[in-house]
Amino acid sequence: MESALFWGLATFGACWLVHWGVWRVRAPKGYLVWLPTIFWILPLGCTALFWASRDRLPPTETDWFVWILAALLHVMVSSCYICGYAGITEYSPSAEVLLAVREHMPRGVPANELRVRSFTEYCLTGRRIEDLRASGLVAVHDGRLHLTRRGGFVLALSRVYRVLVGVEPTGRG
Amino acid sequence: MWTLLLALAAAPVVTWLGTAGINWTARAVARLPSPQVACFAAGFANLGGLVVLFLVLQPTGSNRRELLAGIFFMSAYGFCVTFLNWFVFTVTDTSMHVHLLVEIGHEPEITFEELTHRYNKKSIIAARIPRLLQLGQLRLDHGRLYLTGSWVLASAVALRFLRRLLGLRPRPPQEDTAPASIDHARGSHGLPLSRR
Repeated sequence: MESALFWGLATFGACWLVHWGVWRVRAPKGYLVWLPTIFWILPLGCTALFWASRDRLPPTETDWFVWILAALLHVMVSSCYICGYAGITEYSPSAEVLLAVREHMPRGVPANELRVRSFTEYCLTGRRIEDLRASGLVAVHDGRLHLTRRGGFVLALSRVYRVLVGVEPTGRG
Repeated sequence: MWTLLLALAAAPVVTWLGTAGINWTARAVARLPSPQVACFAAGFANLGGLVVLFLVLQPTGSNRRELLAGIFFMSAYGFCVTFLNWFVFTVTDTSMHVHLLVEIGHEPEITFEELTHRYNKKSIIAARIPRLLQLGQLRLDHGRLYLTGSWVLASAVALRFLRRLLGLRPRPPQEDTAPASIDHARGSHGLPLSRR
């Protein structure tokens, strides 16, 4: 277990350093391609090269156990990082609300006077519509927006998930 | 050995089923489900279960370091499963991208003006405050909002630190800043506008 923990965290750490290096040179726009490549394909390739480059005794059952555990831990931690990366680039309105309230502590602020200076309308909605258009979920025809088939599918998937998990079919955003 | 691997592989599904179970039970007893809390409750129960299973499967007289490493491993894995379970739920609940799809999907076609009239900065912030109150991050007392919790704010500070580390802008652009001027000010290096 000690080896699995070490190798799982060390692999994540090494991949994170590669990610940091690439981002310091220039942050790529398509992070949904770059991050899985760095965190999943790169270690897979390195492992394959390592095994192919030298003659080794066949791994024992314990070796396999350690490798599988380490891989599971790495995949879980890196999945969390990749999902959480949206929070790094997109900024959270909830956090901005809290930061705005913090400016008025300890006296608090009347709820109807709360003003969140960060975030422009463009940043909140305009840019997101551009994202949806770029990913083919929304199309524009004569200045009017409508869902594409892919957009409809994503929306239906979200509704089915929410119904199964026992909440109302749409969130409040 | 294989029991542990099976438990780890099944952990995401078990956590998701736990979340659904909590929400459906809340509905059955005519209570409003608190879905974000349900995600964490199911996740941490699963985490506890994984740690207990690991300890039960250990032979007596096991090495202490090995035991500690195992507990840490199970906790880290369980925490990640909890985060992913919560994240998937949050995407359908609070993601602005998904909510824009919902608003566009209400009508066969909609203009940009109609869309921003329905879903804008005001409505986004209005939707966040009740959620932050429910999560115990804010308190409403005689019409005034007070900061009470800290974990959402702490994660925002951690994310800001990560942005700095990766060379990204630490705070979003401020009100009334036109996108064109942002691009101009940032230049081609993507350097931060300010270090507020």
